[in-house]
Amino acid sequence: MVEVTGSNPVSPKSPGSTCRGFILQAGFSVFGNILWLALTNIRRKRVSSLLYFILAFVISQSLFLVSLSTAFLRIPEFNNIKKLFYTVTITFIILSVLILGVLSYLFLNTRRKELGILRICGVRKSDLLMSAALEIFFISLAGAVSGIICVVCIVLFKVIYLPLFFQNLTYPRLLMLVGISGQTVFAVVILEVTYSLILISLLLRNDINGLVRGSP
Amino acid sequence: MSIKVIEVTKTFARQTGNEYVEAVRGVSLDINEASLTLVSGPTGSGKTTLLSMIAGIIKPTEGEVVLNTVHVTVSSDRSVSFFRERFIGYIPQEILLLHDLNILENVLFPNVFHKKPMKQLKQWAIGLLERLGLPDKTTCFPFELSGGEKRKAMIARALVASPSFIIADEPVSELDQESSGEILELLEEHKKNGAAVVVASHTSLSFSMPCDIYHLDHGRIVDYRKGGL
Repeated sequence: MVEVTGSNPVSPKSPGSTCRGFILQAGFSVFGNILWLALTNIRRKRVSSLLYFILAFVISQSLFLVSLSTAFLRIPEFNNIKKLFYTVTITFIILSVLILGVLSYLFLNTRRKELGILRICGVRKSDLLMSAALEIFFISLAGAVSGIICVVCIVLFKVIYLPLFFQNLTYPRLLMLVGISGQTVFAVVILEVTYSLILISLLLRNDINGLVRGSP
Repeated sequence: MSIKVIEVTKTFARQTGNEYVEAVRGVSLDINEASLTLVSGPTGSGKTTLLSMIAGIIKPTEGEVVLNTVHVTVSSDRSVSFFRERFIGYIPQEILLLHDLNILENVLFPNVFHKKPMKQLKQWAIGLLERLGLPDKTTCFPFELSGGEKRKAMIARALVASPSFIIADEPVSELDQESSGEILELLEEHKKNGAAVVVASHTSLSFSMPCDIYHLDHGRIVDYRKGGL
């Protein structure tokens, strides 16, 4: 590295030295910085964050309803509603796979300039993917948890009238409910993160020149 | 430490049809420490492509670029990126600044991924911005700046980590004479301190110290002057 300390005046107390808390957390490790960037990106890229959130929200709701109906509604009278849940869920999952493809393209497209700058400054693709993975992880986690809370509220407030859902909700059944919720969250997060990352890495591989030239 | 470009050719496929364009054809050059190299040539002569290959951003179709010991065509993205991160400061031709970050954040933004002391870099960045005539613009956003000021911010971003190789693609294209002079002076100062500076320009630049001049036309080197002014 070339030392040119003498030629660059340093003025730490300059009026412009204050940043708005973005990225410049001195003392953070590289992972800490990437994490911080991922979290701030959620705020900066609101549209793509919102779309990922909505997707996670919808998938988690449908998956949760299927899991609940399988675990709790073992009475023949509920067969029709179970079939409805299954149909809705399968449709949502097929649709979400397609939507995730579009979202991944959008994700990369809205960050083209940013990624181009990072690439010319020597940031590795793996670091970019790590940042993207963390960002999608937090959004889908929030979306999935919200979706489950929403379903529980809907059932509790009898918007959907499912009388046996929470009847005799004993400790083992409550544990089972928590387990189902955890499984659902895990499934949604894994689905969103892995599928998006595969697509983003493929798109990133074929588009480095475009990224560097910063085309919109 | 050096960068060797050995008989590189870069071919791009056109968007429509099966036509190919040779942007750079059989170019060789050596870039050593404490050297000043000017790549000149008319628009579309392949300067940007050549500089992108020198920086290891794009790989040549034929030939080889050796970044010290890293062979770009056969090395992993990891090792090429590592070299670029540590030793290369690249100033692109286009204005590449993030509109939702202020100038200081823009200058420091790429270092988020690097193991560099952010506090020190921040002080460096402020010093550089002051040196480039933007002391009161550190908290401004890019849309509040003129084209020339944006370019200066990009130059500060490339120089903030004191790279060993500075690759500048049309660094003074939107600047007035005074600002151009300042930038060229700054680049010469880095050269004096041991950095290798490669500048591409379609106009003649008035460096005060000798530099190697490669003149490109249609992707080929048509003229070479060692130590020309």
